[in-house]
Amino acid sequence: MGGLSFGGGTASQLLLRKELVWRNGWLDEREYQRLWQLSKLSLGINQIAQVIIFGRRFAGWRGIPVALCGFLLPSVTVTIGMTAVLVAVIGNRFVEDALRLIIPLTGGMTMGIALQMWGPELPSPSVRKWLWLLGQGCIVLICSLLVGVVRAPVPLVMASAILAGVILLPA
Amino acid sequence: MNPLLVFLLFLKASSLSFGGLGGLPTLHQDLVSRGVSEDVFGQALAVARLSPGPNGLYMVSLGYEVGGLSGALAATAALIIPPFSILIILVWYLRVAHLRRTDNALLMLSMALAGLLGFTSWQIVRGSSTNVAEWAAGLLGFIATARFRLHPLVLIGGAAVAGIAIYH
Repeated sequence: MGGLSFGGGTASQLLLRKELVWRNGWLDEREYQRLWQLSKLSLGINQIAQVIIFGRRFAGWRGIPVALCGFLLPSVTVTIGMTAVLVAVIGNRFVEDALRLIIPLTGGMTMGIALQMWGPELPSPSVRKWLWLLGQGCIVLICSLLVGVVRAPVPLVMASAILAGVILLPA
Repeated sequence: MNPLLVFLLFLKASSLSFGGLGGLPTLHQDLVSRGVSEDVFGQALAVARLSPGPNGLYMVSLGYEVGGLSGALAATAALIIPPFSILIILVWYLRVAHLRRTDNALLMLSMALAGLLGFTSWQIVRGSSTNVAEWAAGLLGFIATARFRLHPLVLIGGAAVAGIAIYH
């Protein structure tokens, strides 16, 4: 799975589900879904946390390093190899020309992922829900400005957001 | 860059993030102030989109760019450690999962991360775009990912061919 999941998190998720639930039946759909949701609470890369959970569950503590090696060794090796090749060929005119469009493109793709992370849904014709969406947009914008204009440290902005969620939103 | 410094900076970013690209704003803030260019971030993101595994492996590519092979290995170690927090979080979460405040905190955090990541990627687009074609590539990447969810290989391959056709 670590070597074949081209296409980022979605592709990896599909492969994990296919192998663990559909092909081998080690987990049922509900359990897989629950463990996936729980892994989203971890610090760092969620999918690594997910692999840690699966390794622990299927083979105990020894399963954790084995699962991590299986999942990360191929993908990390390919990533290092591709970067080494890229660094070696930088300076070639064809590569430089290709990168001139690839770099802004990947910046735009990352902005698209940011929008997906927020996941705003166009609400029904309720004024209250439109106001809630507008409020969310303001929070996204304020966080951007805090880092971009005020130069606030990123961890401070994230901690403030968590605190604001606990204090300001109705419990 | 010294591998130990790479490890510490990447560990900080990874420890203070949720999700594959969550550490990007912190790393961007820390590395740009040390002279790393927007282009290096763009290259690392492109490699990560083309290689297998989670998107967060852009950190491995970035580690290589700033510190060679030892930088890549230091970055790999830095991104493996924080997810172990899940073993503690699993115990803690069962106590607070039912609280509305937990959902509220996670909702606000996801909005903050979207804003931070959006701004960081905007800086990459702005820093690497000097003409209409490059701005259009950034816009295309945004729309194609947010709206149509096209495979990265198609987009990056298309941009490479277009870049060679336009500039060569």
